[in-house]
Amino acid sequence: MIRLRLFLHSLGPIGVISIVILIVLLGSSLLAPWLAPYDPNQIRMSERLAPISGEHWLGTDTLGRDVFSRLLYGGRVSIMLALAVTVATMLIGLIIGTLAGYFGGWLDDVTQAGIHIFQGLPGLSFMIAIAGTLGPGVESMFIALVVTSWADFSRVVRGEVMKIREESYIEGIRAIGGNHMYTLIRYVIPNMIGPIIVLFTVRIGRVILSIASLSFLGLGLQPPTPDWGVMVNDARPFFRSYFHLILAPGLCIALISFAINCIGDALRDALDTKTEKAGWLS
Amino acid sequence: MSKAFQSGWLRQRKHEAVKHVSFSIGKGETLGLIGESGCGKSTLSRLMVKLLPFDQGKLFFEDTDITKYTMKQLFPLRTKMQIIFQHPDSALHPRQTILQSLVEPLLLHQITDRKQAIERVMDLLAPVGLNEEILSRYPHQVSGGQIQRVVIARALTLSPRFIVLDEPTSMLDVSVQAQVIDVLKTIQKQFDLTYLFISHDLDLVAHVSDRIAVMCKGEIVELDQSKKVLNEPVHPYSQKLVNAFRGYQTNR
Ligand SMILES: Nc1ncnc2c1ncn2[C@@H]1O[C@H](COP(=O)(O)OP(=O)(O)O)[C@@H](O)[C@H]1O
Ligand SMILES: [Mg+2]
Repeated sequence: MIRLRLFLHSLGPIGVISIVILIVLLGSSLLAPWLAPYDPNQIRMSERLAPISGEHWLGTDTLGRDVFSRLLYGGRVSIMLALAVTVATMLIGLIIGTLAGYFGGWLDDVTQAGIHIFQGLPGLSFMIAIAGTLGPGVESMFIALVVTSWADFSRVVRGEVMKIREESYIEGIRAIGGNHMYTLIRYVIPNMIGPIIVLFTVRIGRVILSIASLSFLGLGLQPPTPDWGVMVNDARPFFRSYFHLILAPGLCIALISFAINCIGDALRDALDTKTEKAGWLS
Repeated sequence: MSKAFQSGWLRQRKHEAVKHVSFSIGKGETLGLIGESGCGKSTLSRLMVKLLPFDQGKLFFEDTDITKYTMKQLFPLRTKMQIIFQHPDSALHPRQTILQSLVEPLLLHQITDRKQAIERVMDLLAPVGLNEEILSRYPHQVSGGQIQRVVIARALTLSPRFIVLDEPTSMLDVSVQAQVIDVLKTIQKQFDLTYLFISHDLDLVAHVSDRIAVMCKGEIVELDQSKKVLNEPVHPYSQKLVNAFRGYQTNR
């Protein structure tokens, strides 16, 4: 309990507000089937573009679907997909970055070349190309997002490993007899947990944005999936008179990526063992 | 033995850090190694405990030729030779308690179980001048002098016979430095240890060493009894070093 309080304190006010926002958004997505007043896909042509009312809290869209219900469901697929993409990216980045940073030499030269090539790719255009080639959908988005983000992750991990490799305690455990495996697992990886958690968090936020962009462009999740990016696209033709239709899902996308980013920043400080703030760790 | 660092990819640059160095250290002896920073002392020390591969030469440990030993073959030998580094602030795993770091070598080498390891660690606290209260702390909660004592105790858990001390006190305050040197001298007698003591401080080297090796630009230019090197240095570089030291002493 004390530890939790210390942790929240170390996150600072923005960090805590962001956590609250995130919990609300995640919780409502998770509980959408119970919270949603209507079926998010039920079309009622008689009630098209209904205004905000007690019956439809956020009105209905052009097909008469309840916007509030769609909003509750709208984060589910993208959040799950973003999680899957980031976990996959992290595993690839962790393996490549750790090996390259720790062993150096030709292994590093080869992976560095790969990283440079993939980092040089224009992210969104490349994602559009992949999604366009493989056809829109969850699988092609997964592939496109992993392909465009593993390099960045590897690069950061490599940098962290190279920093840690120079610390005396690495030479120390080698001198005591720890082999490479032992050194990597017990010494290198635990000492970069902080940066990895931060990177992981920030990445999820960015991937959610990318998914929304792709869905908005029609290359990601497809209608009628209730999804924030898709909803923004659906609302585009009407946004002059029905601004809330674009505002509501847009705000959800902005809030979740903003909250996740702030949490990442707050964690960066909270996990830094060299500052006072990390008291909750020990 | 020799060691050159190669760098550059297209155009290879070679930097000979240690050049054709040859010496031996007698059992129970302290050999001091002195030279200005960048002359290759640390590189030589890493070569001696096989933390770095060398290019040419041979390395013997207690009459065994360990030149071609693989990491696996070296593993049991790691208990017999230890090295202590310069920087106390990064000497220990930041996320392990002092106790975890101290029992780790014994558990890694499967010499004892955890309970016996803790007992052994307890027995070693007094010789290095620490008390139990430190064991539950993390490295960032411990002073530099205490860290160096912990590192010394950690090396001792494995009952080594030879310890390389690479400027073990150069990052410490003068008063703390003297205490750590005292600890090193005490345990040397108590556990019958052989030292290679590295420093850029002639005062210190003269104080602890039986013999002194003077290193300059990767070469050992002079190696003799401490008194001899201090009183009648032969090589011009040693003379320069000793004169500087004398000047410093008379100014005091
Ligand atoms: N890993 C390395 N790669 C390339 N050059 C190195 C490396 N380590 C040390 N050197 C070089 O070797 C020389 C000797 O360094 P070092 O052994 O650390 O000297 P000292 O301990 O006497 O200060 C220095 O010029 C240093 O720049
Ligand atoms: Mg050095």
